[in-house]
Amino acid sequence: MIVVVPDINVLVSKLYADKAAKSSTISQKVVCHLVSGSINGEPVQIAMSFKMLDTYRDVLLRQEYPEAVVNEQVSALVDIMKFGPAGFDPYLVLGGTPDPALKDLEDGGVLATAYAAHAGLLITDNLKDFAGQDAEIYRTSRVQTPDGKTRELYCVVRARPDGKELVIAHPADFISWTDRNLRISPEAIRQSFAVTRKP
Amino acid sequence: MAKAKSRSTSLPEDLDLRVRMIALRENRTPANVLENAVRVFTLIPQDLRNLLIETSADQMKGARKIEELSRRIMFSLARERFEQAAAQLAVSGGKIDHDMLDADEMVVVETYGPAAT
Repeated sequence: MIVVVPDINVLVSKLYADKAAKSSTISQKVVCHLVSGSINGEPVQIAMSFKMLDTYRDVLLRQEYPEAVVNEQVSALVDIMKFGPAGFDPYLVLGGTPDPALKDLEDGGVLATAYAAHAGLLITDNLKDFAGQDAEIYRTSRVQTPDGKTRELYCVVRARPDGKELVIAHPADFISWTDRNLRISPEAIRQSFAVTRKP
Repeated sequence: MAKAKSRSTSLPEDLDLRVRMIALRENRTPANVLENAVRVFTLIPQDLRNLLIETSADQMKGARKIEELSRRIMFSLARERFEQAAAQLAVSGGKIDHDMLDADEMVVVETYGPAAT
């Protein structure tokens, strides 16, 4: 089983894509995988803290989405976590103390959540803020946006306080790896990709 | 109000204990628990009823299997609620951040890792 923490930006992007009547965007595919309960046959457990859910809720309310429906979706997300294969209870992860290695307090909270949930994977569009000191960085892929701009992607491996490790990946890489049936683990990342310098 | 019929049966001690525990925990009467159980049971299709009866007969693994089955049902219902709410939000008057939308349509043009397995 893999425990996955989706960053808020993934969920918000998915909503924007739905709203723009897009289909099969990266975030839509990521969320589809996560709520399906398994990734390539491996059970998947979503883990988010209440603090993260509150942030998600706040972002949507600021963007003028209807409060009752936003609350319903957040409540459904809590149940998806509670009734997931590991029965994760967001009440038990309060967001933790933000990691002082990270400049952005919100990202520190996301990382603290991943540590507290013993997550194996954190999916975020905001890699730079997680590539701080003590992080291993691996060059993974080159992506292109619809306007023709290209961007180099990388993934980050960080040691968790419990001695295990956490992979932090971009949503596009997550989908690329899942489509190609690559195992997502620190060992597989080390075997598959070359170390790169800090971004 | 529908006319009520009285039925009687004898419960094994362990089953009676479970009924009383649920009644106590949920602040209901044992009769109410039994009435609810019969109501749900009689609405379940026969195939599933048979499967549940067979599973519950296994003292060791039965409870765990039914718990797992319940979890899957609850997960499926939560997923359905999540998707329904997403569909409602998609047709609501909320705003979109177009930069995020563009970034969400990126495609991987080159991967530095291994080929597909």
